[in-house]
Amino acid sequence: MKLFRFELRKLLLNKKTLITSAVLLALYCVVGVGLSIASFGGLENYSVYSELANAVTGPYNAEQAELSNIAYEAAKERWGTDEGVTKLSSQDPQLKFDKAYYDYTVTVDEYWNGPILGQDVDNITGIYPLQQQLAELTAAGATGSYDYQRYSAQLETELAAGEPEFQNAALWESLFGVWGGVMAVILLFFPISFIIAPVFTNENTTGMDNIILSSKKGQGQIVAAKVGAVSVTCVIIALIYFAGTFIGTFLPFGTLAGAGLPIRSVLTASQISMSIGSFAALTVVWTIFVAIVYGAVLTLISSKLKSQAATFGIGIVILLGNVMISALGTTVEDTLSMLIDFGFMNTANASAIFGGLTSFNVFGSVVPYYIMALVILLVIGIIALFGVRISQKYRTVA
Amino acid sequence: MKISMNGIYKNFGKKEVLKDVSLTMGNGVYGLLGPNGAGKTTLIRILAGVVRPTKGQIIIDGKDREDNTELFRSKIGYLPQDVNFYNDFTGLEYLQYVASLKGLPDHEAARKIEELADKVSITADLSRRCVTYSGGMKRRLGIAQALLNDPELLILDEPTAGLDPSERIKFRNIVSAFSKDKTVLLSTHIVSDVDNIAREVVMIQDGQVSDMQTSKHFIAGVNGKVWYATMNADDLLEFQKHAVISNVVPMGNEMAVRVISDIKPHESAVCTEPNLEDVYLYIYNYKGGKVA
Repeated sequence: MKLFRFELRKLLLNKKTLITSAVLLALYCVVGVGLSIASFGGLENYSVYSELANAVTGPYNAEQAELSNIAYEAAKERWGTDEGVTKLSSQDPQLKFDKAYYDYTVTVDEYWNGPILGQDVDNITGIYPLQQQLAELTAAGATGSYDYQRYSAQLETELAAGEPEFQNAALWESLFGVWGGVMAVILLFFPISFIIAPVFTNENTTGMDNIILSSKKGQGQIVAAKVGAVSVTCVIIALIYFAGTFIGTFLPFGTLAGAGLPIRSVLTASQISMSIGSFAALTVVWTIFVAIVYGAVLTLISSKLKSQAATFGIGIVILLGNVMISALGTTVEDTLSMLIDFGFMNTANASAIFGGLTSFNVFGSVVPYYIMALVILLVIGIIALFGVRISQKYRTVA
Repeated sequence: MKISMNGIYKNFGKKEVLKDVSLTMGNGVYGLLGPNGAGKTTLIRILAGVVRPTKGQIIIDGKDREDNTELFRSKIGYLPQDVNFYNDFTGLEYLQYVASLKGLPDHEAARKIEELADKVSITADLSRRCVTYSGGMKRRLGIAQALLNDPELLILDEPTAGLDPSERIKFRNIVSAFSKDKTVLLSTHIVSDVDNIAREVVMIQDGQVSDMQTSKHFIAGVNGKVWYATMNADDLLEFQKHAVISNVVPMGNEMAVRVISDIKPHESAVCTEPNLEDVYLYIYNYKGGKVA
């Protein structure tokens, strides 16, 4: 325990890291404020938008759908693309509302009929297409197949969830945009890499490896102390990240409106039934778990290398592995799809892990993405821990 | 404690840094003398267990060290040649950290830190951050950490680098007092560090070591090879180009020059009593490092 406290002091509770953490907190707040304010163009616009949205909150309203559709199409004709409309709507609360309601009508349509851009034959969605697909599988006598199991579970969940309702959860949408994917990797995992990269390399740089490796606890207990310190550091930095972006997003507007709404109001394909607030808590817990596993992997790399810069560099390559693989073309992407699905860029995105339809065929059974990700990350974490233990046992100063 | 290093070899890539090194040590201070790059630090690191030999065996009290690494590590204290301490740690925190690495209970650690800080004269500076310490203070802090677990084997690599003369004397006294019933291996290229306190000395050059012998034995080996000559300053400038000189003392217009040579080096030269420094110069500068 004493060794752990010293390792934590070396890694986190030192002047450099404490200053870095304070700077990060400020940065996270600014990012949260920036994105939420930019989304509405100001506090007044948010009030106007909320009034408009609250007036039609609830089930599908055909009259409003038609009005919003006309407004959206007119804006699109003027600005050319959907992105152009989105950009303009940040300055115009009426247009933002019309765009949101238009998007909602598309979601309702897709709920019944599947994607408007066409079905992915391997992943059917929509109530009617699912019913049709199940009928075809039944007719083919494939009721025991993996696809039949998967689609019937999906249909059951969709029917139980019911047709989506229009809700005002725009601030939460903005928050979840920061809490996943590229944003989480850049804002959270990059700083974590920078802070924990020296966990072992620092001992080499200072020459303390000589004293550590020749001491009684320098090959065994030190590993537990260092891994513990890395884990706590990951948790602290992640909590700073979540707190900063959360405060930045909501403080200017002084409201947490929407926290009690179902998560499907934000993540329309979510197969998990819980409130937005609960999903936010789940996101925090999940991301911290992923950060700890990533921390263990980086600790292993740090124990194998002598340079902090090289450790940080390899950490960044691991984080951006998904993007790099995708850039190599569809063939490579398809071949290495597992690396993409379970790379840190994807697994750090709780919205993708818990909020989508992705599932895996494991010996004929349907296994949801989050279960697979949990198991694989646990395996990676355990391998990394054993790796660090072995690495330290055979580590030398030569 | 009895330590035997048997047939130790160490290669870094194709470079053979240690070649068939065998040493045996009991209690007392042992000096490992050699110039920079001779292989002293590698040998010391192998003994400390932070570098693995390519070949060879280390036996501690009749047991193979490889089979008893944790037990062995609990019995050693090691001061490496270069250590930069953690910038944010105070001297006290640093010693407490090393004490926990060595598995000392809190009360025992506190007692030893107080005792050793007093011995190496850093008590008043323990609350200061290590980064503000002078080179000598860092060295004293390093000596204190090496002694924390009251080791049976103390391994010191260039321990007096950066110490002023009074600190060096104090350090020698600490090592002497400590070595009564312990083993100390002291690696250095400063002959005076081991001259007075080492029970036996081993010379190392190009990865090969001489037999472990007493200083007297080595000194006896250069009897008749150390000379005093007198000459003027101009002659000295010319003379030193082809002679190994261990000391020059101005005496009025003349210079008293201490010279190492197998033969009489100057018409004024008379034989004088050698010391360990002369042995070092004879082996490494005059004979070109033939240590056996």
